[in-house]
Amino acid sequence: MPEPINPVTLEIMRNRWRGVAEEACAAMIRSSYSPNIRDRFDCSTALATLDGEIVAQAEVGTPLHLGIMPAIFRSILQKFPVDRMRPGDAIITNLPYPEGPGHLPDLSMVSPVYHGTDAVALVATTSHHVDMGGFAPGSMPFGVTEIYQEGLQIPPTRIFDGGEFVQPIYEIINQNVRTQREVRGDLMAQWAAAETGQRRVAEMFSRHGHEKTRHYMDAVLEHAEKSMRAGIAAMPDGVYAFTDYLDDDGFTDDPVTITATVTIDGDALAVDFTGSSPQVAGPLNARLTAARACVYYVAKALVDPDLPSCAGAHRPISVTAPEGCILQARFPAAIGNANILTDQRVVDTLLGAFYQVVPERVCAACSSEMNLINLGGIDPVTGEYYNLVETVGGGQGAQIGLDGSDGMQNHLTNTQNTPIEVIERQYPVRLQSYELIADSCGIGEFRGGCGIRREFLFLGDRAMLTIGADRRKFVPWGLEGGGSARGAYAHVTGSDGTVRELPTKVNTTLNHGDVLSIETPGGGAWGPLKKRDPAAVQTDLRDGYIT
Amino acid sequence: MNWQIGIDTGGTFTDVVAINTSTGDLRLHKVHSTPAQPAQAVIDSVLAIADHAGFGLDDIALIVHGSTVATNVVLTRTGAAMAMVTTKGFRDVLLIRRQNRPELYNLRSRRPPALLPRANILEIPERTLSDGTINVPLQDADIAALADQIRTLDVEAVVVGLLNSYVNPAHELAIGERLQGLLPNVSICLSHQISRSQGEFERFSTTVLNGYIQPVVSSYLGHLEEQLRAHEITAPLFMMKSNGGVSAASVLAERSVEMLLSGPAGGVVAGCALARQHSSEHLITADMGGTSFDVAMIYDGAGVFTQERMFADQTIRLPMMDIDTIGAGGGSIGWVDAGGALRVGPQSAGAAPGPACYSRGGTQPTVTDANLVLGRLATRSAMAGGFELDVAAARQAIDTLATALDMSIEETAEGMLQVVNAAMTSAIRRLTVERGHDPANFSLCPCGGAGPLHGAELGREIGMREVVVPAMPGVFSAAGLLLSELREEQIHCRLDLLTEMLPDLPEIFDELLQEPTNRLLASGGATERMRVIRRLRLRYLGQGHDLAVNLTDGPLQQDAIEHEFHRRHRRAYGYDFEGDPVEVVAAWVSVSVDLQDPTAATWPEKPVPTPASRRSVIFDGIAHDTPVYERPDLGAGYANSGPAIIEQADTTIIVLPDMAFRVDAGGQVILQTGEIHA
Repeated sequence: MPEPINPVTLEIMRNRWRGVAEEACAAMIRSSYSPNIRDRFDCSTALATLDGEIVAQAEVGTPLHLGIMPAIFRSILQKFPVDRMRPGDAIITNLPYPEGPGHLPDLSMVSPVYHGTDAVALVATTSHHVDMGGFAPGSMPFGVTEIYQEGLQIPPTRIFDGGEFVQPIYEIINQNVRTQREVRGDLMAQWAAAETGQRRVAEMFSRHGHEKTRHYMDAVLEHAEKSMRAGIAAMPDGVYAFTDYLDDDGFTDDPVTITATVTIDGDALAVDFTGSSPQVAGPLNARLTAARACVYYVAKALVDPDLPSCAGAHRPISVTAPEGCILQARFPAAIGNANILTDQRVVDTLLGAFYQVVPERVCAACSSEMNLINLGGIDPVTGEYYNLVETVGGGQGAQIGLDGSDGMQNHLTNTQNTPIEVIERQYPVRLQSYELIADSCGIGEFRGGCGIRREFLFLGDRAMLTIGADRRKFVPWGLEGGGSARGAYAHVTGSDGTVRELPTKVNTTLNHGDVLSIETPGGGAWGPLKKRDPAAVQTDLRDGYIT
Repeated sequence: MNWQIGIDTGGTFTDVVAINTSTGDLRLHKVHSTPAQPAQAVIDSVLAIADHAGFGLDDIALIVHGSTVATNVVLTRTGAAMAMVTTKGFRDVLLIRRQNRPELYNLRSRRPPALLPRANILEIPERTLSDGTINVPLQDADIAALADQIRTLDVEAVVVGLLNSYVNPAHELAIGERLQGLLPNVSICLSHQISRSQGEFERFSTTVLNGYIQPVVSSYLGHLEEQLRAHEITAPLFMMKSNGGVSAASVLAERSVEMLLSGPAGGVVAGCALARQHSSEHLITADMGGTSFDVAMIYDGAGVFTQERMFADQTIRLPMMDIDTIGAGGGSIGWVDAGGALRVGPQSAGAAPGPACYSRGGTQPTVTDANLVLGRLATRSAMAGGFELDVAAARQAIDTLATALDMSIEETAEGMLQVVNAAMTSAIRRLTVERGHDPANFSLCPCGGAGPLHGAELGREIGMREVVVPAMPGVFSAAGLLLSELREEQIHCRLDLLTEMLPDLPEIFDELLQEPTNRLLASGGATERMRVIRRLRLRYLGQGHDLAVNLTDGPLQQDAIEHEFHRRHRRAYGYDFEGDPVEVVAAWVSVSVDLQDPTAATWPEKPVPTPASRRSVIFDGIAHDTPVYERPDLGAGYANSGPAIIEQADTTIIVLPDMAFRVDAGGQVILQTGEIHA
């Protein structure tokens, strides 16, 4: 008969698991090489039961990584059951099919954690590596139709075997990636996180005893499940649908449809994506794993943002989409940019559906595209390959009673910017501006946030640039009569002054002296403009947010 | 010149401690704080303790002061009107911050506003590159035009934050000098001087915070020194800093941001000394005064530091003690909210008008009034300056609440204590439980005038190992000020391979030592007693974060430095890249001089004490006939069980029924949090 759950112990244990996940994530960030991890935190960590049920996650980088983690555990455990692992093992994979990380640059690592000789838990990391080979630096090209073109596919594979680094596997990876030093450093940083997780989890088991700690792992999951069920039950039962669009897939001008049908039935939530476009030629396809992560994100945001990030909260939720649809694409469809574009649109679609349920908790559309920049080439000074990865924030959607924030990451990503002083030391670029765009916000009773302009002067010889943006045609919408926002733009000014407009999704070349200008969308407004407080309008004029 | 004085200004009381360094004689005193003119209470306290202890003002060797002036400016958003000057094209670096949002899943989460409006952020054409070369030179006409623009904004401070100034500060220096000439009455802060580190946003934000605080702090310090001189007090004035070290007041007039946690830092320094002396090396200090409640963790006998933190929604990058503050104290006011629930704070009656029972014009029910009504506080309390507390006024104040809640006065008073204890409990939980620390591994050190009144209940509620009440809890922070050291730090940022930089290092360190040494000399530190720590921050080439490696005295050996770095990397992350090139991020020096040798006090043994009196005290709705002891009567080794009240000049200690207590060899009163089962 297990001892009854003590609420204070539960609270300590829950926070301790989260604390270990955060400490492991900090070890990864602090020992990493690429600015994408060390400055932008495009990475995450999770701790799970031996069945792969997540007990705690570090809420550091991106909700998308966190929501995809369950699929990574499933994928790895299927090939490497825990009884075939031993201390000092680490299994990696970056393969999205049939389920796994969202795209090839997201390399995930899972290690077993031992207390004495018993396996007691799993520790996982996902790290967005700056390059995984393929057609373009950054491994997120447009103009491709197959995952083969996107980069090296790594099915679940041992990279540490009983504490020994598996050199041949590493050498295959090393040979296929452009930024070898950074990939090696970031891979070892994932190992640092695994080591930290191992040490701290073992300490927990020693301190609290094996039985009790295992017992409370289950209690943590049950507590989160109960809380999520209570939150769903408090929403009115019903079926609610909404449709939103991506501008195009980078090949044709055809919009891509995302349709979500949300069913609230007692304490259970079901989302079906039937009605969404069939899979497309361009790299906007996804596996259902990613749509699940979007639903988990929205459910947590609307039910209780402070709910623990663990698998218990996922139990009342089911997500479906027909095979062959853009959200459940068949191998080997190109998949690289779903993370940054398709998935953000899935979130907006879900919020549109939930607006019919809990309007006061929903915000107008945010910039809702991550505005990815991958800029890669050979550094003229060092002779080494570099690749600058950045996603740029935009306007936040307004909500009842609140203007949106300006120039901020929203929804599935929360990565930081790379400091200008770091970019300029590390890459052959010089920033020319980093500023908010006046009048890019939706205006209304509560205005949306403004988008960002970031301009890079390119100082290398020649580089390949990938831009992944959206919401130029289908701009961020307002709610309750609030205005929509300005969309995403980009152009290159050559050293001779000629200006070249860029599409939202493109691979192109930059030459020495080119200036790349990125402009991200604003956020939609809430409520009609005539209801806005005149003093707020005056302040916005004085501060130049509107003209 | 035998007396050292520590002065800790709180929201309600100003505590002062004087130590005679030749005889060891120690005196303490409290005066009411004077928030409208904070310097007044400091002067009052010096005069009062000198009078009280019978020494002359010319017998004062030094004064160390912990002040909440800087803290309050930020918390109440009453700092300077500011303008900021930055590189053209980068006006919004400060506003965009790091582009991330404060909470991952909360759609209503918003980025907090900056300390100055966007309209006051001005751009100037100029550009320094990442290697320090000047790409766009400054034009004097642009600076003059800026000055004209700044004049129209009517500001007290101008912050200059330029890209890459941490590598080459020439443009910041030039703009600073020229603007100061054109705008003589404005204080100017240059980002490279406040936080010389890579990362434009964090450097700008820290500097903006400095600009926001500086006019208030420098005028406060100037006024204070003037007043000291007017009283012919020639002793040097030192200020406690957020890092637990002290600097001369004149040094901090320009580096005010280092005083952000000046008030509570003294308590942490004292806590560290206590933790080292007491068997418990893990301690939570819980300092409850009249207005605020400060908690800090001491782990393995040392204060926990942060290199970067948020303070009142602003990012600050400086080494600071990790101290959390909430608005809860003896002066916190009880009220009934719209939903009919009893609430306490964060509004405080503060020093003026103070609790109802102080008879200084206060009519609102405070926590102190509740303690008095329940008999926990004596009607005549030395702690409140020796005046009689007015029980009738306290009852009357609480009665209005009791009527609204339809409860008795006593029930309401106990309810107020439960509510305020819950708020303080949450603050301690945030520091321990929420960071995965088990409170059972920590002792609680309640201090401040009101801490020991609540310590027993807090310790039991959270399940801490024991409660350790220090010998002088009421002036713990003030005493801590005198246990600190003069400490100055300086950092030199230059990114270069260790191999390349090694030959220059001796010269770099020599240069680096000059400014902090001068600051230390300006503070009166003697060269022969200086302790110097030299440190390199290293990483593998390509890594983003670094590890600090302390250098040993004597010639610098590349092998030895690299060996130590590999070892530290292995220990931190489980692997190393021995053979890879090692990069220097920065050289860092710390120079310090002890103010005095902290010697552990010993407490005498005494005969078994008899209670000085008995009174009825309400615990959990039941009146207990409770013995009241005078703390000086309790000798080392004495042990008994509660309920009990132990009174002393600076506070009152509550021992709950079913709780054992004892006095240890250092005079600390130790409360066992567990219940006694007969």
